Amino acid sequence: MNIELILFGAFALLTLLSAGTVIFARSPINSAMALVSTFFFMAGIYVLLWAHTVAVMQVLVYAGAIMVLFLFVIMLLNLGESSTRGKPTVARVAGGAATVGLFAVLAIILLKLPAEPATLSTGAQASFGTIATMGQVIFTQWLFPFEAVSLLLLVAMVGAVVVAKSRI
Amino acid sequence: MSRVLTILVAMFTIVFLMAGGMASAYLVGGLVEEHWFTGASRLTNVLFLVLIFVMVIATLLTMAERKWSAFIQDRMGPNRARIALPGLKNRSLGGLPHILTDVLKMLTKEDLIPAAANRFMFNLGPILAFAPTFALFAVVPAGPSVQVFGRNVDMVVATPDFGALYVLAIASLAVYGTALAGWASNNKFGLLGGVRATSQMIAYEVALGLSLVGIFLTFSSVQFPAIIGDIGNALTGGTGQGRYLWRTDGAFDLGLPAWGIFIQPLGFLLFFAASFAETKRAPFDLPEGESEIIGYFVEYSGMKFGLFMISEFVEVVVLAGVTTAFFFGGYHLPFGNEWLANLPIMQEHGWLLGTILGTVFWLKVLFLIWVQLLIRWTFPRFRYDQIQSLGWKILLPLGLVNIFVTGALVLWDPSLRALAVLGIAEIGILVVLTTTTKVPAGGAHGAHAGHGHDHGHGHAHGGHGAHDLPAHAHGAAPASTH
Amino acid sequence: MNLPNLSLADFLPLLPAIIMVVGASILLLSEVFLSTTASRAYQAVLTVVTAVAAGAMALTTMFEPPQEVMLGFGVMDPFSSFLTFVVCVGLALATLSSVSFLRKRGAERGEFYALMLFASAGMSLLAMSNELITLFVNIEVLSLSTYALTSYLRRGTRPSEAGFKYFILGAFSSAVLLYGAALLYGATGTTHLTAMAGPLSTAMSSQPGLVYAGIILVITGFAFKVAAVPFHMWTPDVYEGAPTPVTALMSVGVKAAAFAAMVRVFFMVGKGVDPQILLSLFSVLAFLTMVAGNLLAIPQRNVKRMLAYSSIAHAGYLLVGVAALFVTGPGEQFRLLGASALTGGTPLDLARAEALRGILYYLLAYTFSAVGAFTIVSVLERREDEEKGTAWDLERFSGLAQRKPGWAFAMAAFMLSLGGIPPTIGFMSKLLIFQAAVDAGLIGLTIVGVLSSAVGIYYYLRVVVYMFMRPVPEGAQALEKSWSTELALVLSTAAVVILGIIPGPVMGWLEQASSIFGQ
Repeated sequence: MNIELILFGAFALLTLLSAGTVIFARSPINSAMALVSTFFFMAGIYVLLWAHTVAVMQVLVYAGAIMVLFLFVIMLLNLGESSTRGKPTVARVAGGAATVGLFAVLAIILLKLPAEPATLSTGAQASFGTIATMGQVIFTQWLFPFEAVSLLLLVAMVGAVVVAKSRI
Repeated sequence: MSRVLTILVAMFTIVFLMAGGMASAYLVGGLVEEHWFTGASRLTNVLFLVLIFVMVIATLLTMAERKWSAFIQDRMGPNRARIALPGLKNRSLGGLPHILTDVLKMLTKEDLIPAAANRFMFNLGPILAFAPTFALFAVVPAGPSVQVFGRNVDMVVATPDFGALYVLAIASLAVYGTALAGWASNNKFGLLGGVRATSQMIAYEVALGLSLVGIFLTFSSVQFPAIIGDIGNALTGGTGQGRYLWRTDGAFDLGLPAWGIFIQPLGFLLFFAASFAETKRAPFDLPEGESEIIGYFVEYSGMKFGLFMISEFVEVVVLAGVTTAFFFGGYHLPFGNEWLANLPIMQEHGWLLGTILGTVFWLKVLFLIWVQLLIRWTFPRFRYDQIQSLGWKILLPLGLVNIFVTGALVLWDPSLRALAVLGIAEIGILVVLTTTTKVPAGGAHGAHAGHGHDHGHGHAHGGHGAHDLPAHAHGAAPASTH
Repeated sequence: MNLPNLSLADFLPLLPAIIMVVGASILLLSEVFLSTTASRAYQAVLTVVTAVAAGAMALTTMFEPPQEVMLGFGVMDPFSSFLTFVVCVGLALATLSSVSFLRKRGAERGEFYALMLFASAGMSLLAMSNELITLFVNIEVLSLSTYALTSYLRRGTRPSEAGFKYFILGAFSSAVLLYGAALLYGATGTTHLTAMAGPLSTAMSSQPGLVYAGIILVITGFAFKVAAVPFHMWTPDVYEGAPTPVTALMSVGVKAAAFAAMVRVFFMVGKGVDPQILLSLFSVLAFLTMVAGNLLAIPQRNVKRMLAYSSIAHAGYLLVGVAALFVTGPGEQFRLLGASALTGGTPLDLARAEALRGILYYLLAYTFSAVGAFTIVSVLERREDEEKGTAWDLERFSGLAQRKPGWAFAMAAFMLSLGGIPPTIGFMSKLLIFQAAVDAGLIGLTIVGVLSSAVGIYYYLRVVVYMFMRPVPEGAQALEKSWSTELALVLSTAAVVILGIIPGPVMGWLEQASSIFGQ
């Protein structure tokens, strides 16, 4: 039992708990805050994976900016607690059963994975996951997806403006 | 005359106390490094830098702010709390005892929780507001890394690889406390404050990040130690902000240091404005808006309110520290830096150099805190739309322009001299503009100019957006509003 | 670490997409300086010019041998070039049909055309993507543009509903796709499609469950995008609610690009796993899609909705072609039309090349026919009816032959082509697809395909019957003419008829491009 494993267990458990709260909380604000903590604990898992730049980006972008926007919208709309527990319709039962089934299948598959993970080749490189390495890789090797993402963000921005602006 | 003397004595005391604090920080750091384990000085740094320096300065700030506002408004300021001790009886002591009374008051007030409030979130709010601001200072180096008792002692808690991104990430979390407090109180005014805080945060978060990109470009790093840089010696030149762009030859070095303020003045203004907005203090105090909605902490009492208040002051200290590190050369002296560091006695007793430079750092911090208090008490509050248009329409485009110009100049002249020439020209233009412009026109010549005119005339004329008011409302505004 | 250097030449293969993005940016920027009342006729012209330029650029690269672009994250081969060309054709025709549509509604804006161009750029890049992350990002580029375009006109509840439904289900399917891709990455340790085959066969023996789950989730994601049954539920509502020119672009462009990506992914995956698995999966999908699409289209009196269901059915025929890619043994004995003109390679390669050619030709054929049909639908609908369900009713087509013989002829051509009746391009394309399927030994699937397309002829011909054999209804409004619509109709009718009679030129292209796929 090394410290990494303990930390991973803690982060994983907290991530699951928060993610569960996101789904089951009645009040949207509680859901949003649980989502923030989900992101936060996921960032912890990223750190354990040597991806600390990704982790801090996760906190900066998701927990720090995007969720603030969520919160803003929820507060602006003043959403109350949702009262739609709803009756079990055929579609709901079927959907729930399908979800549970999919989850079970995936769980079985993942449980069958070899217990000992493949030896990581990254241990040797101290620079792995640093901001400098990431920058170099993104702007050379991964330039195509990176530029595609910038196109994606531009499109998303234009699309959001088009959808949000006054009716035509 | 005696008043001048008192002030001098007080200032000397402050410098002396800070030097003492730094000296003990270094010495204790060296001791624990030697006797405990390597890296133990990081733990004592938490104690000294965050718990002692930041907390004490923030606590004293509660008083300093009142005194300073009193000076500005030509009042005496608080002086009623006295201590009944021999020799101190009937002395106001500059209002210092008020700190104690404030704390007593907050601790003994009843802790009210509104019946309709969400208890969990209500209690979470102050914690979430306080903790991030406190954690921010962890990455700011308050002094150089020196050898004490043969061990290396860093005057910083943590030096993560992502440096400045940590500041941005943690700072952006602070708004949750505010927003939650506003929402959980189940109070319309509180909710308004929370909504204002979130929208303001979003508007300035982008500009805040962009304003620092210029600094990252010029120093090719996001890490504080690399940006602050090392002091040069006979063999190697300095790095980061510890080097000179132009310097005299000879033992005593005199020249233009590569401080952020000289090579990134626009970046500094943007950063300062945006981070000022994130501290939620006037003129950006819309979430609080004490004259209109009281704001997100309207339902809080006792020490929970105290946490909100003290976190605001902690933010002031942290902002000053971060700004010093990025734009004012961190712990470096503007001149004589290399001369001092290469003195034999300094080489021998590393902690001495550390103490001197650390004191320099805290003096710069105090200066920036003073600037913040000055801004806080001279400018009236923005209107909501002005806040948004300043963030999105002025700071954001200027930040983008700054990045492109900086990138191009760094590419063209990696020695940063071209950038410094541009920077000094920018400073000159700003000075000329602010001193000569009597009635500012609508243009945005740098954030500061746009700034000043927004506050200075915002309230007198019903503001920047006055063109959408009918003409008669224009004249009537000063009389009716203030 | 060895960091590669990129030169300008690395970006040249992306030129069609770059041209479209530049055109879109010009449109966006020009809108900043325009007053609301300024004439915007140039915008459509610019869009068409951009599309033509990009299409021409794609054509020039069609006969070059396959090459990796951007360090293997993309690949430029005749397959991607031809798909880019198809997308550009669809874009140009949809733009031409949208001019009068938007003008009638006072909704001409640069953003509309810019989003069309962005979507097409995303489609072109998607056709070139050779790596899972790139692929996913490009899928999102085209999806986000089409989400926004779907709710571009927001009169009444229909467009909002369509946009929202499309967005939610699209985002969901993207997530499913991404999860599947992540599982595949977990199994193989690479996201590059070309490098995947080897590790995949190793993973197949050590952790088959992971590979199966990944493949099934990725297929599910793609099935949503191409509207294959049983993941088709969003299609009718979205196609109906979106502005008709957008529906046209969506039905051809999104489908073409999604099929391109799907074919590329599973062609590569198929090298690593037992192709029999993929064959059975795609056969089931194709069977369900063909049958359900055609049967569901029969009761529709709403022509736009009928076309939506018909597009599902066409996805089914295309899936037959995809299934034919995973043939294990060549079914030489069933070869219908003599030896294939494609030369070289083993019989297996020949059969695969035939299937690919069939898919590509089918996409081109569907582009011309569907865009043309939607153009006719768009000129017949009236904006005041949009709220009601009758805007696209069959009644609108009554007596069209007397009012507008040209339009009626064009619509008849499109309907015959969609139904797969000679002498139209639709017939040729169906022939190619089914030929490939038979050569691959998929006899049962081919029979189902032929039978279901025979069912499809019923609802296509019903439109023709209404146009030619029903009287003009009382009080029918005058039909406006506009040069752009006429141009779009003339071009697509000509293509449908001429390429149906003389398929030679395009077939020639496809055959010249000897290795259709960067195999």
